[in-house]
Parts: sequence; structure tokens; C-alpha cells
Amino acid sequence: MQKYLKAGFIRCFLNRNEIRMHNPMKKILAAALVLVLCLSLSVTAFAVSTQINQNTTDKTGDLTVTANIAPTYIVTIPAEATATYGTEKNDLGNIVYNGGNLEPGAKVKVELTAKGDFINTKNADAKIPYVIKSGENVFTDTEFPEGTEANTEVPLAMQITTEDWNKAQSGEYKATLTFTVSYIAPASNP
Amino acid sequence: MKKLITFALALIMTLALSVPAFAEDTTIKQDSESNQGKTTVTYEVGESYTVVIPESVTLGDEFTVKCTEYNLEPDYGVYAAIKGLNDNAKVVLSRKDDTDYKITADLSVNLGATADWQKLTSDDSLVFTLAADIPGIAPIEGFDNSYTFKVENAASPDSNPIKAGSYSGTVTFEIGYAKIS
Repeated sequence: MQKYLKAGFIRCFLNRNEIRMHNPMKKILAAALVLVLCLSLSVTAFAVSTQINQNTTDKTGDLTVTANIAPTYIVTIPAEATATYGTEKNDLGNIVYNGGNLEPGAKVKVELTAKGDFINTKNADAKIPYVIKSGENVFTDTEFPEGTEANTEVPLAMQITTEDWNKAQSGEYKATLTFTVSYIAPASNP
Repeated sequence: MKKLITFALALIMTLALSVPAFAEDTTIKQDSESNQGKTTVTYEVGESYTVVIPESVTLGDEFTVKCTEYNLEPDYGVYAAIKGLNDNAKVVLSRKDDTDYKITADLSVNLGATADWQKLTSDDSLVFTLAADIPGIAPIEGFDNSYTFKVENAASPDSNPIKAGSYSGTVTFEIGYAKIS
């Protein structure tokens, strides 16, 4: 009997131990879960008003007034140009920055985003290679930063070598150039 | 001689003692002239008030400064005094990343139920009473202890259009509690 009693006690004791062991674990897990939940909560931050009462030491409240003046600009891209047979440098006209009102540090960018083949309108296999230049440099893009004078011009030209002209099949050729104008906002300050 | 000096010293010390004078309790006996005693009870309630000032506003939008609760002494009021305007009572805003360039804007206050806006000038009082306790005078009907303002009509510092960009400026409200004259 005593043996059984002892055995029974041991089992209970063990059970109680197990329970005691489980409970702390459960508590730790529960605490960890609560902590994870708290940390994952996103709280919307609202603007905080100033509240002043009779006990407030500094009885002043500052109201910040903000305003935003949107930037404006005008850029002109030449619509059409004609190349002359045998002329190496064909004037295409000018990209013109007509004027603008830009934020400090901002700029207007004009980029040659598509340069179509100079292709024979009657024979798609006949093409004349060319390069678009501005002055002596190959043109890819140009930028007009804040403060650029109104009516600033960037000249464009279609450069075709004499050799390529001589190889060209007779006929009418057409190419389409696409310029994309974008506003580059100033980098945000920390 | 020693006894004389000792006695004199004791007398001097006794006379030098300062004893606080308390109001005397009334003791009434069977043969007192009056069988009444008076007890004076005093209790002081300090004033309390809360004024709420918004943190920020965008040009053109309205904002309200309000006294949300108050308990004032008679003839006292809570006021908001506007500070930080320029000499022409205009709000000054600086351009971000180019703070030397500044624009100004009008500060207007709505004075009534008809949505009447009054542009504040240097001739106007910039002190607004939010709450007051004037014995015998009822609160103004429709007045909810607040004033609504707006900052509007931004102006360039020169003859050119206002430069593009973000601007910010500050209007300070100083809260006071004082006797209303």
C-alpha cells in the first residue's frame, strides 16, 4: 500500500513538476506573443495640437503654416526638319527652354528617348545611318537647372557621313525622333 | 550683580520672543454674554482653463484656437495674443533650401456667424479673449470660446511671380490669464 501510495505520489509529483515546467513556458510564450503583437502594431501618427492650461510653464504654442508653389516650365521641341542630300551636318533646329519657375535644386531634363531609323519610305530595307549631335557632342539629353535663362537654346543636328550618303538608295527617307521632357525634383533633405 | 544681569537677560529674551497670534476660539460658558460663536470657513478654488492650438495648417485652410474648458475668477479672462507677424501683421514664410527668399501672407479672422473674414492689419488688436467670467454679463450668444483664422493671399517679395517651392512660417499664440479691465 505504501509502495502504491508512494508510486502514486511520485506520479503526481512528476505531473505537478511537469505542470510547473509547462506553466513557465506558457507564460514565456504568451509574453513573447504579446511583445511581437505590440511591436507589429502600426500606429498612425496624427499632428499633435498644443494644449496650454493654467499650470503650463511655457504658455506659447507655435502654429506652422506651410505652402507649396508648384513648378512650371515650357520647353519647345522642333516639329520637323529637312536633311539635305550630301550634307554631313543637317540642322534640325533647337530645343528651347522658353522659361520656368523651378524649385531650388530642380531641373528640367530633355532626353532623346527614341531614335528611329532614317528609312526609305518605299523600301524598308534601305536605311541611312545617322547620329544626332549638339555642337560637337553626340546628343543624348540636356538639362536646364533652376535659374536657366528664358529662351535658352540647345542646337540639334543630324550627322550623316559622306560615305553613307553615297551608299544611300535614292528616294524619300524619314526618321522620327522622340524627346521626353521631365522635371527632376530637388533631392529631399533629411 | 550677577543676579541682576541674569534677570535682565531673561527679561530681554522674554520680550524678544515672537508668538504667532492665532484667531481665538470662542469659549462659551453658562454666564457668557453671548451664547453664540462664529466659525469662519474658507476654501480657495484655483482658476483652470485649457486652450488648444493646432500644430500646423496649409495656406488657405482654416484653423481654430479654442478654449475647451475653463473655470475663472470673477472679472478674469483667458486670452490668446498673436506673435511672430511682421510689422504689417503678415505671416512670413521662408522658401525651403533658399531661406533668404521670403513671401508674406495675410492672417484673417472670422468674426461672426455670417462667415465674415477680417484681414488683420497692424492697426488691429492681436489679442483675442477666448473666455471670461464677468459677473452679471451672459456669454455672447453663439460664441463657443474659439476663433477661426486662416492664412491666405501669399505675396511675392518683388514684382516677379512667387518662386516655386515649399514654404513654411510660424504664427505663435501666447496664452494669458488676466483681469478684464
